[in-house]
Amino acid sequence: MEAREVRLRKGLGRILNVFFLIRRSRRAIFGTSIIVFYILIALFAPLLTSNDPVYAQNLAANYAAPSWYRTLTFEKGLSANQLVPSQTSTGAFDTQDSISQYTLTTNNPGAVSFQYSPTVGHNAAGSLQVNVAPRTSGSIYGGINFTVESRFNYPYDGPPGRFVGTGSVLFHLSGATPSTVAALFTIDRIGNQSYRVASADSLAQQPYNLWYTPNPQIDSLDSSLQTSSIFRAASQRGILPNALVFSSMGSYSFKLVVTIADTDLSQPFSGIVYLDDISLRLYGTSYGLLGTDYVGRDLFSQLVYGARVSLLVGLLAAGIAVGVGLVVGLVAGFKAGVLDEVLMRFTDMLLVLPGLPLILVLVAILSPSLTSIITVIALLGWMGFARVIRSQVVTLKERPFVEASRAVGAGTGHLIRQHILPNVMGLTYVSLATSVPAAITLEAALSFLGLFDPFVMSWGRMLNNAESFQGFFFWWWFVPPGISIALLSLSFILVGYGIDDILNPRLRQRR
Amino acid sequence: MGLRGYIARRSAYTLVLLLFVITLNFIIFEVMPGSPIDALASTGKLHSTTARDSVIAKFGLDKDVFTRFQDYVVNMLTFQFGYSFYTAAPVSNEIVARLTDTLLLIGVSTVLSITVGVFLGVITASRRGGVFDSAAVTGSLVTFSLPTFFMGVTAILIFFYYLHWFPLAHDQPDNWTLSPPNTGTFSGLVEYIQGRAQHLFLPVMVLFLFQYGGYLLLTRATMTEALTDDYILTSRAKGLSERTVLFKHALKNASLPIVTSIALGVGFILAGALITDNNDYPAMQAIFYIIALMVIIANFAADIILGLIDPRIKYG
Repeated sequence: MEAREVRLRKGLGRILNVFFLIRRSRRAIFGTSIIVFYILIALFAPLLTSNDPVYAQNLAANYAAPSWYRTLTFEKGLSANQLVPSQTSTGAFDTQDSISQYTLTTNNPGAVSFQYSPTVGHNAAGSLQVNVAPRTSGSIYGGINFTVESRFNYPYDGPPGRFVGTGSVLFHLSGATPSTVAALFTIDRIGNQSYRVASADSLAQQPYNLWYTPNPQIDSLDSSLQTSSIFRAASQRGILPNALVFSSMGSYSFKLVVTIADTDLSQPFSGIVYLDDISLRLYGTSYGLLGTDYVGRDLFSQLVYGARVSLLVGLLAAGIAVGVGLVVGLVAGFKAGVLDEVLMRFTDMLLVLPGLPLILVLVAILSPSLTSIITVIALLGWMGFARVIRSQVVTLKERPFVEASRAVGAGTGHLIRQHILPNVMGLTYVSLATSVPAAITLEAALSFLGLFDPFVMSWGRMLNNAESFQGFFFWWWFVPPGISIALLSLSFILVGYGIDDILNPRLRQRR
Repeated sequence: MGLRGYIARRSAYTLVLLLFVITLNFIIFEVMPGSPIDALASTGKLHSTTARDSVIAKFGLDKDVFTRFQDYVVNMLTFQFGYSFYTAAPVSNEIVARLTDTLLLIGVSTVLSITVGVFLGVITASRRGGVFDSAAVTGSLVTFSLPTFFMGVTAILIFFYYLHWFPLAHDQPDNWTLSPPNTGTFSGLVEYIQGRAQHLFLPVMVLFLFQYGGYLLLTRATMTEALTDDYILTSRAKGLSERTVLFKHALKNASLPIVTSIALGVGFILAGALITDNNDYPAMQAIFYIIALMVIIANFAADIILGLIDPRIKYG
């Protein structure tokens, strides 16, 4: 128990010593604060952003700019994400109140009435129920229609990057077969122009219990919409539906018009129509702190989660490499003879191999994953350090204090633990501090060349994406990860130099 | 043992190293997935079984591993790199074409960074702790830690895209493939040099910025050690000029690690430039081999040079 306490206090003391060392160099303090900054970012990544860096696509338009860019640089052409109706994201009619977000109108108020249905629904229970009253014989429904629309203000000068709309209709009609059952989706610039974005004319045959939903969905990027009669001419000139419809700020409405007409008056006719999920989503051309990438993923979240990858790869790979180097150096230095010769020849052989090409090939063979990248970087990064440690150990073990210790009967383990290790710890810290940036930049280079773990987003992969998908035209895409790689590497180097300056008294400046 | 014995030992060691590299190279590409058959089939060049058989024979895939290894060692030692999996053309043609451009680029930037790096290293070491020292060290640490590819892209964006100062980093103006300047005449020669220089400038600058930091820091470190030695005090006391003290006395004694690092650097630096398509195994193998060969030769040269410079080494 007591021995353990002593050991603990010793260990703690050693860690504190490192901090005291660092405090004596301005460079090391600067480096440490940057490292701590990035460690905090990496640790609290889930708190800083709620978006998954790899899988959360279409958060806004592709290639969106940072949202502060819109307010700061007078880039009037940028827009932000907007949902219609504003309060619910899906227009799912999951509560009675949701009806109040829509304007309901009909050409025949006597026959058509609106109410909320809590039981029927498209994906989840709850929908807008429209009752078509039974026809009294003789009077003709020469075409009744009703409109469900959501009005909204579009406050941006530029168009959204994309719009996606949806809406579902379920018909429960009884009696005479109607001649027309139609659903029409439009986006209207109120008081100006109406754009048809989806329509279906022959829904009379739509079976009961089968919802009609526009297919393909209403999407300004969809080629069938771009080549439809309203949008074809403009699309050919390069003006896509999103730009044509939202050509100015002002009042708009997203509208679903249902028309029912019958001609056969010999039979009675009545019906219930359920409407659900009526919503329009406008993808902003600005988003978040750093905008989005080529599939609408959050670049800020990628930057934040990238810190995790860089730190993990850097620390682990460098840790393993330094550990291996320490062991090989200690063994080779302490056990002179054949073992030393074999270990050092092997070290030399690995040392002359061209590093980056070999790592490239090995990672490609092992198929790129975080594990294989860390392993390969670690297993090809220990040789230089092993040589340094060996040369130190060779001289250390001949020093008088080691000899004295040996003379009173100290074993190899004791000698290494008590006399050799403490004397090479300084070198180890320095080597650790300079191996980490090497591993970080190596990982970045591998990812940049396309050898990245497909399940995680690293800074190098961000640069690879930027390179592959014209991202280099957007500084907010490639500058933050590039600077981060450099800054984090630099901080570790600075800490290394700081410790080196302090521990190496020969280099200490003469005042 | 004299200098001759030292060189003989280094030569033997270099040869062992070479065999090790060749073996490793063979093993790595042996366990790699994919074969020339797959690669050629994917390009649609294999239509009949006879074509298939001839490919198998051409790449020697019908022999067992040991025969192939023997052939491989002989081929590597005689620089027969075989044929590209994709184009079925000799790999060496492509490599020679690549190497000339690369060597020009790397050569210019390496010489530049060694000169500037070593010079600045000497200056900073002699003015340790001053403003110039801090600025140069910080600056070199910054450019040293910026990833090269990031620097390259940023340089292209700034100087090509925004400022239009320099052309995109091809090795020569695009229209030269149709009408190269007549280097026989004086004006043609000037045009040629000007065109090459313009196109080389950006990549050379990027590589220079990446490389010089290492030389600066290394020179500074070894020079600082050397400057604390007593003979420096003696030579200053003798009244020698500061320039003579720094460059003749201190630098000469500090030059050992610098020479090693320069030799290694020249060998290694080819690595990044020669990386090519990831799937063309014969080409990759050859490039890998050539890079390793360069490093080994550079190392060997460094050993010999060190043996010549430093009398303490050769009998070690």
